[in-house]
Amino acid sequence: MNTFGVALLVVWSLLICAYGIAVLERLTALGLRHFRAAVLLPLAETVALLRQENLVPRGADRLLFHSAPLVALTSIALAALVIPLGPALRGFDPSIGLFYFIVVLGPFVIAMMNAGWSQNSPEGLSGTFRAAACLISYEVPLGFAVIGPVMAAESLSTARIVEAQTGLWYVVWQPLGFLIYAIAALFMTYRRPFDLPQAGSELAGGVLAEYTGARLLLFHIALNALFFLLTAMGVVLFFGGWQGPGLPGPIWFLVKTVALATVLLWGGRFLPRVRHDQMLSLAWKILLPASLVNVALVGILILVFPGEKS
Amino acid sequence: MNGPGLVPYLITSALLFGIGVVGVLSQRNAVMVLMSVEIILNAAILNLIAFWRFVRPDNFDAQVFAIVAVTIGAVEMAAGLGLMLLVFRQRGSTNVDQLQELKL
Amino acid sequence: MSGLIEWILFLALSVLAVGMAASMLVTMSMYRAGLALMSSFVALAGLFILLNADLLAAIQVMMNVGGMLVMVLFMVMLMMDPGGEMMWDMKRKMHMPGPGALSMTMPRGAPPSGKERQHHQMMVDMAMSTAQLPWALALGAASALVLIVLVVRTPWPFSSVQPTQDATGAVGTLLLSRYMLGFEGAAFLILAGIAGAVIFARRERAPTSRPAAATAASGTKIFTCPMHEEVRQSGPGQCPLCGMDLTPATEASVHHGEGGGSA
Repeated sequence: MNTFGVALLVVWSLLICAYGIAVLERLTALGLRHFRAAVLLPLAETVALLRQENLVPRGADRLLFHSAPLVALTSIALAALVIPLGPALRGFDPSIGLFYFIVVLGPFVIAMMNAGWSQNSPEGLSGTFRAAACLISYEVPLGFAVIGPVMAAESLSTARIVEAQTGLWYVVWQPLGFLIYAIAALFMTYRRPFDLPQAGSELAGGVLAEYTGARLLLFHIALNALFFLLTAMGVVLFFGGWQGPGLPGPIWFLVKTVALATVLLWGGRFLPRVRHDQMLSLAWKILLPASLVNVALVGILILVFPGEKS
Repeated sequence: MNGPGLVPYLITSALLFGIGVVGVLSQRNAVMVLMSVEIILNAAILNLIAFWRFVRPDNFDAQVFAIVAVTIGAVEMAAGLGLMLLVFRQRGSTNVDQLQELKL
Repeated sequence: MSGLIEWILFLALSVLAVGMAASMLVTMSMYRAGLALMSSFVALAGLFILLNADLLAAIQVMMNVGGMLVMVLFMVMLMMDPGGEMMWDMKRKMHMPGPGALSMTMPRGAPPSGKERQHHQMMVDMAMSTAQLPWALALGAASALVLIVLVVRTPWPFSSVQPTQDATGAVGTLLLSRYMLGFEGAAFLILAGIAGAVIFARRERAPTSRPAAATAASGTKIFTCPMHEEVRQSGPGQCPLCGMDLTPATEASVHHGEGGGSA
């Protein structure tokens, strides 16, 4: 399959996954009874957004305004290449796979900042500062939580991390690492209980205040796809990836990802919405020391029980 | 046809160095001066890696050197920006022309 | 990969790196200048990949994209016109020739008298580069030229060994064995930098003494120009020096003057 075909496949898969996440979100909000509504609501919102007028605010930095959603989607597509879907289905397996994943999500943060900045509106700007502070603060615990599986598998390659979990999934003996990762993932994509930068009651819609129509749709797709991506990486790191008895690899992968996404989305609804300064203290005062403790713990466990891994 | 050897990479880094020098000497805002210093630092790191690749690719000490250099660049940028914030709060401007005297 | 493709990639990435660095100095929008610097560094990371230094390319992107982002945030907070719109408007209205910020260089020589003085003063205030721009250009070009001549004429020792080993493992081993001192020293440096930056940025507890506000005390509203605080009028209008709309004089605008307001 040539490169263009692969790229097209990745983009289409991301769109479908973004739709899936949107459906899951409605399902967890409305309950299983309203299954049909949950499936149709995202489609209805898509149509509504597409029919909306495409406004560009006065004095906006046009280059940044138009390019921001595309940059966001491109960085997510590039990051998705590293996730192994099955024993032979790897798009891209560099030896520094996981590091590449984290690095490639950096431009996503830049795209969000560009989006907020280019709108030339005070509400957008205050939302931008908060969103940027939150994204930066949570990238650090995310990076540290990821070190646990890397130490256990002795490799940065995602395929190797999956293979190293044939004996025991990492979540079993690295629960703290998984918890930190889950919180950071919920945070970076603005899900409950962390959706203050984007909440309807926030200053005029926060960082995406002036975006309308198709561009806003692209951003929603990007955020949903990012959540799917982070959940998929969580499955790869902590839940054994595509491994499972009976069914072929990709099916297990999909099942696990959907299950994890459901648990995260549903669990997040029970907690009250976290305020902005509380979010930052959570990241720096609680998650960062906890992730350092996690690295120390995992190191000790690896030294003491050499037979524990794989 | 062979790929580019050592010299083209060194020429690129020399050009970057020149641009950095122009920026450091001519920019009015202190933050822009800091950014130009970063350009000079990265030109030096490009030199390091080019030399590693073409002169001693079996010895990874050069990459360790480059990693430490990138780290130092980041720390210097952080400290510089902290200083700029303090200067801005006390003097009300980051214009280098107005920061000529130590006395407030 | 074949030599021709390598050459094409090298030229594209080099032009991008050098071009973006140059455009950082030319653009009027500070935000875009930060982004241009970021793109220049990402192009450099591409050159690192061409040089088989994948680990360093990833480190370069991670440190610089994250670092430049924070720096851009600072610029937006601290600068008067981070988007460059004020400068663009002026450039358009007054038909100044030249690309980007180069059209607004500092005028040289003594200020002329009479009507020209206001225009001169405004240019001095608005310029993005100092009066040393010609010297800076000359010195930069000279240093680049000297370096290029040196580089081309030196007979470099060439090794045709292809790098085969995985860098990550080798670098990790080196950092924890031979270069442990440098590794720990860098960690200390980072800690000192963090502590220093946090201490720098703390707000003082006691209120600093402010110079007494000149007029804006009672009754009459005084209007002033955000850039030229010596301009004072009792009613709204345009600044005679630069044409901007006058704003009511507050304590902050009197005190901070050209800084353009606190963060």
